[in-house]
Amino acid sequence: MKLVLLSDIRANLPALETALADIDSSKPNAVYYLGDLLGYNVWPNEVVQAI
Amino acid sequence: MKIALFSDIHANLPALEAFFKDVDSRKPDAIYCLGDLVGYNIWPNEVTNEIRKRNISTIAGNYDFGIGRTSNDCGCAYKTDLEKANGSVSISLTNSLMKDEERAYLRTLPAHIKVEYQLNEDKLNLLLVHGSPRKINEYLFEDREEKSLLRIMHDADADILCFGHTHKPYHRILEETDGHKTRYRHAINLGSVGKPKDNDPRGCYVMLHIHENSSVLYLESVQVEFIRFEYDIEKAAKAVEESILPNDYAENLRRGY
Repeated sequence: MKLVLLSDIRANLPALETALADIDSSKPNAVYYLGDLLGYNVWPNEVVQAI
Repeated sequence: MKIALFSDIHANLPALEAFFKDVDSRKPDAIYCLGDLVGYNIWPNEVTNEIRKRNISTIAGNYDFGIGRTSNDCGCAYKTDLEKANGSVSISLTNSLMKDEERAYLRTLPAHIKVEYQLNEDKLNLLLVHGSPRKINEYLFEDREEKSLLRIMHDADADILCFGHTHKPYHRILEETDGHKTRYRHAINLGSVGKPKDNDPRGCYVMLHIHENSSVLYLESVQVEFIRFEYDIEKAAKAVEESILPNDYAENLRRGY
Protein backbone atom coordinates (compact mmCIF):
# COMPACT_ATOMS: atom_id res chain seq x y z
CA MET A 1 0.00 0.00 0.00
CA LYS A 2 1.35 3.42 -1.00
CA LEU A 3 0.34 6.64 0.78
CA VAL A 4 1.44 10.10 -0.31
CA LEU A 5 1.82 12.80 2.34
CA LEU A 6 2.64 16.42 1.68
CA SER A 7 2.42 19.74 3.45
CA ASP A 8 3.49 23.41 3.52
CA ILE A 9 2.61 24.25 -0.06
CA ARG A 10 2.61 27.93 0.90
CA ALA A 11 0.67 29.27 -2.09
CA ASN A 12 3.36 28.00 -4.44
CA LEU A 13 1.30 26.88 -7.44
CA PRO A 14 4.21 25.84 -9.72
CA ALA A 15 5.58 23.58 -6.99
CA LEU A 16 2.16 22.06 -6.31
CA GLU A 17 1.50 21.42 -10.01
CA THR A 18 4.80 19.63 -10.34
CA ALA A 19 4.08 17.57 -7.22
CA LEU A 20 0.60 16.64 -8.47
CA ALA A 21 1.94 15.47 -11.83
CA ASP A 22 4.52 13.36 -10.04
CA ILE A 23 1.93 11.93 -7.63
CA ASP A 24 -0.48 11.02 -10.45
CA SER A 25 2.20 9.06 -12.25
CA SER A 26 3.03 7.05 -9.13
CA LYS A 27 -0.63 6.01 -8.54
CA PRO A 28 -0.80 6.05 -4.73
CA ASN A 29 -3.70 4.48 -2.80
CA ALA A 30 -4.34 7.69 -0.90
CA VAL A 31 -3.07 11.26 -0.66
CA TYR A 32 -3.11 13.41 2.50
CA TYR A 33 -2.33 17.11 2.84
CA LEU A 34 -0.98 18.19 6.24
CA GLY A 35 -1.81 21.87 6.04
CA ASP A 36 -0.34 25.33 5.42
CA LEU A 37 -1.67 25.70 1.94
CA LEU A 38 -1.32 29.48 2.14
CA GLY A 39 1.06 32.31 2.76
CA TYR A 40 4.33 33.65 1.29
CA ASN A 41 3.31 33.64 -2.37
CA VAL A 42 0.68 35.00 -4.74
CA TRP A 43 -1.49 31.91 -5.51
CA PRO A 44 -3.49 31.12 -2.32
CA ASN A 45 -6.83 30.71 -4.17
CA GLU A 46 -5.32 28.65 -6.99
CA VAL A 47 -3.68 26.28 -4.51
CA VAL A 48 -6.93 25.83 -2.54
CA GLN A 49 -8.82 25.11 -5.76
CA ALA A 50 -6.22 22.67 -7.05
CA ILE A 51 -6.39 20.66 -3.83
CA MET B 1 -19.91 23.29 6.67
CA LYS B 2 -21.60 20.55 4.67
CA ILE B 3 -20.27 17.00 4.74
CA ALA B 4 -21.76 14.30 2.53
CA LEU B 5 -21.59 10.72 3.83
CA PHE B 6 -22.69 7.58 2.03
CA SER B 7 -22.28 3.84 2.32
CA ASP B 8 -23.49 0.38 1.33
CA ILE B 9 -23.49 0.79 -2.44
CA HIS B 10 -23.24 -2.97 -2.95
CA ALA B 11 -22.16 -3.01 -6.60
CA ASN B 12 -25.25 -1.05 -7.66
CA LEU B 13 -23.80 1.22 -10.37
CA PRO B 14 -27.08 2.90 -11.46
CA ALA B 15 -27.67 3.92 -7.82
CA LEU B 16 -24.10 5.21 -7.42
CA GLU B 17 -24.34 7.28 -10.60
CA ALA B 18 -27.62 8.83 -9.47
CA PHE B 19 -26.08 9.52 -6.06
CA PHE B 20 -23.11 11.37 -7.62
CA LYS B 21 -25.45 13.47 -9.74
CA ASP B 22 -27.48 14.43 -6.68
CA VAL B 23 -24.55 15.09 -4.34
CA ASP B 24 -22.57 17.10 -6.91
CA SER B 25 -25.49 19.49 -7.32
CA ARG B 26 -25.39 20.23 -3.58
CA LYS B 27 -21.66 21.08 -3.53
CA PRO B 28 -20.56 19.59 -0.19
CA ASP B 29 -17.28 20.69 1.43
CA ALA B 30 -16.19 17.08 1.91
CA ILE B 31 -17.41 13.64 1.00
CA TYR B 32 -16.75 10.31 2.72
CA CYS B 33 -17.69 6.74 1.85
CA LEU B 34 -18.29 4.31 4.72
CA GLY B 35 -17.78 1.09 2.83
CA ASP B 36 -19.49 -1.96 1.40
CA LEU B 37 -18.80 -1.08 -2.20
CA VAL B 38 -19.31 -4.62 -3.48
CA GLY B 39 -21.64 -7.64 -3.27
CA TYR B 40 -25.23 -8.41 -4.35
CA ASN B 41 -25.00 -7.01 -7.89
CA ILE B 42 -22.87 -7.26 -11.04
CA TRP B 43 -20.81 -4.05 -10.97
CA PRO B 44 -18.26 -4.42 -8.12
CA ASN B 45 -15.32 -3.26 -10.30
CA GLU B 46 -17.20 -0.33 -11.81
CA VAL B 47 -18.39 0.91 -8.41
CA THR B 48 -14.88 0.58 -6.95
CA ASN B 49 -13.36 2.49 -9.86
CA GLU B 50 -15.93 5.30 -9.78
CA ILE B 51 -15.18 5.93 -6.10
CA ARG B 52 -11.45 5.59 -6.57
CA LYS B 53 -11.45 7.92 -9.59
CA ARG B 54 -12.94 10.67 -7.46
CA ASN B 55 -10.35 10.23 -4.68
CA ILE B 56 -13.10 9.87 -2.10
CA SER B 57 -11.85 9.04 1.38
CA THR B 58 -13.30 5.59 1.97
CA ILE B 59 -13.24 3.00 4.74
CA ALA B 60 -13.70 -0.75 4.38
CA GLY B 61 -17.02 -2.47 4.92
CA ASN B 62 -17.21 -6.11 5.96
CA TYR B 63 -17.97 -7.17 2.37
CA ASP B 64 -14.95 -5.22 1.05
CA PHE B 65 -12.76 -6.78 3.72
CA GLY B 66 -13.85 -10.29 2.65
CA ILE B 67 -13.59 -9.75 -1.11
CA GLY B 68 -10.27 -7.90 -0.76
CA ARG B 69 -8.86 -11.11 0.71
CA THR B 70 -10.70 -13.47 -1.70
CA SER B 71 -12.55 -14.93 1.27
CA ASN B 72 -15.83 -16.83 1.13
CA ASP B 73 -16.95 -15.08 4.31
CA CYS B 74 -18.39 -11.58 4.04
CA GLY B 75 -19.08 -11.31 7.78
CA CYS B 76 -22.80 -11.00 7.06
CA ALA B 77 -25.24 -12.20 9.72
CA TYR B 78 -27.59 -14.28 7.57
CA LYS B 79 -30.43 -15.73 9.61
CA THR B 80 -32.19 -18.36 7.48
CA ASP B 81 -30.86 -21.20 5.32
CA LEU B 82 -32.23 -19.40 2.24
CA GLU B 83 -30.37 -16.20 3.16
CA LYS B 84 -27.19 -18.22 3.66
CA ALA B 85 -27.59 -20.01 0.31
CA ASN B 86 -28.32 -16.73 -1.50
CA GLY B 87 -25.41 -15.06 0.26
CA SER B 88 -22.96 -17.70 -0.85
CA VAL B 89 -23.98 -17.20 -4.53
CA SER B 90 -23.38 -13.46 -4.11
CA ILE B 91 -19.93 -13.79 -2.56
CA SER B 92 -18.82 -16.38 -5.07
CA LEU B 93 -20.01 -14.25 -8.03
CA THR B 94 -18.32 -11.16 -6.57
CA ASN B 95 -15.07 -13.05 -6.06
CA SER B 96 -15.18 -14.30 -9.67
CA LEU B 97 -15.92 -10.81 -11.11
CA MET B 98 -13.38 -8.84 -9.04
CA LYS B 99 -10.23 -7.88 -10.94
CA ASP B 100 -6.78 -7.85 -9.30
CA GLU B 101 -6.23 -4.09 -9.14
CA GLU B 102 -9.72 -3.38 -7.80
CA ARG B 103 -9.37 -6.18 -5.24
CA ALA B 104 -6.00 -4.78 -4.13
CA TYR B 105 -7.63 -1.35 -3.67
CA LEU B 106 -10.23 -2.87 -1.31
CA ARG B 107 -7.41 -4.20 0.85
CA THR B 108 -5.96 -0.70 1.29
CA LEU B 109 -9.15 0.72 2.82
CA PRO B 110 -8.77 1.66 6.50
CA ALA B 111 -11.15 0.52 9.25
CA HIS B 112 -11.93 3.98 10.63
CA ILE B 113 -11.49 7.63 9.76
CA LYS B 114 -11.36 10.11 12.60
CA VAL B 115 -11.74 13.80 11.81
CA GLU B 116 -11.09 16.35 14.54
CA TYR B 117 -12.51 19.80 13.88
CA GLN B 118 -11.28 22.88 15.69
CA LEU B 119 -14.22 24.93 16.84
CA ASN B 120 -13.41 28.12 18.70
CA GLU B 121 -12.00 26.95 22.05
CA ASP B 122 -13.31 23.45 21.64
CA LYS B 123 -12.91 20.46 19.39
CA LEU B 124 -15.44 18.23 17.72
CA ASN B 125 -14.62 14.63 16.88
CA LEU B 126 -16.28 12.99 13.92
CA LEU B 127 -15.68 9.24 13.78
CA LEU B 128 -16.53 7.24 10.68
CA VAL B 129 -16.89 3.46 10.95
CA HIS B 130 -18.72 0.82 8.95
CA GLY B 131 -20.50 -1.21 11.64
CA SER B 132 -19.37 0.09 15.03
CA PRO B 133 -16.08 1.39 16.49
CA ARG B 134 -15.55 -2.07 18.01
CA LYS B 135 -16.29 -4.30 15.06
CA ILE B 136 -16.62 -3.89 11.30
CA ASN B 137 -19.78 -6.00 11.21
CA GLU B 138 -21.55 -5.07 14.44
CA TYR B 139 -25.08 -3.88 13.76
CA LEU B 140 -26.06 -0.65 15.54
CA PHE B 141 -29.82 -0.62 15.09
CA GLU B 142 -32.05 2.26 16.09
CA ASP B 143 -33.45 0.39 19.09
CA ARG B 144 -30.01 -0.08 20.68
CA GLU B 145 -30.19 0.75 24.38
CA GLU B 146 -29.18 4.35 25.00
CA LYS B 147 -26.68 3.45 27.71
CA SER B 148 -24.90 0.99 25.41
CA LEU B 149 -24.76 3.42 22.48
CA LEU B 150 -23.49 6.19 24.72
CA ARG B 151 -20.78 3.94 26.15
CA ILE B 152 -19.60 2.97 22.67
CA MET B 153 -19.37 6.64 21.67
CA HIS B 154 -17.74 7.71 24.92
CA ASP B 155 -15.08 4.97 24.66
CA ALA B 156 -14.37 5.95 21.05
CA ASP B 157 -14.25 9.68 21.96
CA ALA B 158 -16.79 10.38 19.21
CA ASP B 159 -19.01 13.47 19.36
CA ILE B 160 -20.51 12.45 16.06
CA LEU B 161 -20.44 8.76 15.15
CA CYS B 162 -21.40 7.87 11.58
CA PHE B 163 -21.90 4.32 10.43
CA GLY B 164 -23.83 2.16 7.97
CA HIS B 165 -24.12 -1.62 7.69
CA THR B 166 -27.79 -2.01 8.68
CA HIS B 167 -29.14 -0.15 5.60
CA LYS B 168 -31.69 1.55 7.86
CA PRO B 169 -31.12 5.28 8.37
CA TYR B 170 -31.57 7.11 11.67
CA HIS B 171 -30.22 9.95 13.78
CA ARG B 172 -30.19 9.73 17.57
CA ILE B 173 -29.12 12.53 19.87
CA LEU B 174 -27.66 11.34 23.16
CA GLU B 175 -27.34 13.59 26.15
CA GLU B 176 -24.36 13.20 28.46
CA THR B 177 -24.04 15.11 31.69
CA ASP B 178 -20.58 15.69 33.07
CA GLY B 179 -20.71 17.62 36.32
CA HIS B 180 -22.93 20.62 35.61
CA LYS B 181 -22.42 20.57 31.83
CA THR B 182 -24.61 18.75 29.35
CA ARG B 183 -23.11 17.78 26.02
CA TYR B 184 -24.66 16.13 23.03
CA ARG B 185 -23.46 13.17 21.01
CA HIS B 186 -24.93 12.24 17.65
CA ALA B 187 -25.29 8.67 16.38
CA ILE B 188 -26.02 8.64 12.66
CA ASN B 189 -26.79 5.65 10.48
CA LEU B 190 -26.42 6.63 6.83
CA GLY B 191 -28.85 4.17 5.31
CA SER B 192 -27.78 2.65 1.98
CA VAL B 193 -27.11 4.01 -1.51
CA GLY B 194 -27.59 0.74 -3.37
CA LYS B 195 -29.56 -1.66 -1.17
CA PRO B 196 -31.99 0.19 1.11
CA LYS B 197 -33.87 -1.91 3.64
CA ASP B 198 -36.26 0.60 5.21
CA ASN B 199 -39.13 -0.07 2.79
CA ASP B 200 -38.24 2.97 0.69
CA PRO B 201 -36.57 1.74 -2.53
CA ARG B 202 -34.89 5.09 -3.25
CA GLY B 203 -31.20 5.48 -2.48
CA CYS B 204 -30.26 7.18 0.78
CA TYR B 205 -27.36 9.26 2.08
CA VAL B 206 -26.62 11.92 4.68
CA MET B 207 -25.67 15.58 4.50
CA LEU B 208 -24.19 16.63 7.80
CA HIS B 209 -24.38 20.34 8.57
CA ILE B 210 -21.92 21.54 11.22
CA HIS B 211 -22.21 25.17 12.20
CA GLU B 212 -18.93 27.02 12.28
CA ASN B 213 -19.62 28.63 15.64
CA SER B 214 -20.80 25.38 17.15
CA SER B 215 -19.91 23.41 20.24
CA VAL B 216 -20.76 20.00 21.68
CA LEU B 217 -22.75 21.91 24.30
CA TYR B 218 -25.36 23.07 21.79
CA LEU B 219 -27.95 20.73 20.43
CA GLU B 220 -28.43 22.73 17.21
CA SER B 221 -24.72 22.70 16.29
CA VAL B 222 -25.16 19.60 14.20
CA GLN B 223 -27.97 19.03 11.76
CA VAL B 224 -28.53 15.83 9.87
CA GLU B 225 -30.32 15.72 6.55
CA PHE B 226 -31.32 12.36 5.08
CA ILE B 227 -31.46 12.69 1.32
CA ARG B 228 -33.44 10.22 -0.79
CA PHE B 229 -32.84 10.09 -4.52
CA GLU B 230 -34.51 8.24 -7.38
CA TYR B 231 -32.45 5.96 -9.57
CA ASP B 232 -33.06 3.40 -12.32
CA ILE B 233 -34.16 0.58 -9.99
CA GLU B 234 -35.34 -1.59 -12.92
CA LYS B 235 -31.89 -1.51 -14.49
CA ALA B 236 -30.32 -2.70 -11.22
CA ALA B 237 -33.04 -5.32 -10.63
CA LYS B 238 -32.87 -6.68 -14.19
CA ALA B 239 -29.08 -6.97 -13.93
CA VAL B 240 -29.63 -9.24 -10.91
CA GLU B 241 -32.24 -11.32 -12.74
CA GLU B 242 -30.06 -11.76 -15.81
CA SER B 243 -27.13 -12.95 -13.67
CA ILE B 244 -26.74 -16.08 -11.53
CA LEU B 245 -27.67 -14.02 -8.47
CA PRO B 246 -30.90 -15.04 -6.70
CA ASN B 247 -34.00 -13.21 -7.97
CA ASP B 248 -34.83 -12.35 -4.35
CA TYR B 249 -32.18 -9.62 -4.56
CA ALA B 250 -34.01 -8.00 -7.51
CA GLU B 251 -37.28 -8.03 -5.59
CA ASN B 252 -35.53 -6.54 -2.54
CA LEU B 253 -34.33 -3.62 -4.68
CA ARG B 254 -37.83 -2.99 -6.04
CA ARG B 255 -39.36 -3.06 -2.56
CA GLY B 256 -36.57 -1.41 -0.63
CA TYR B 257 -36.15 -4.34 1.68
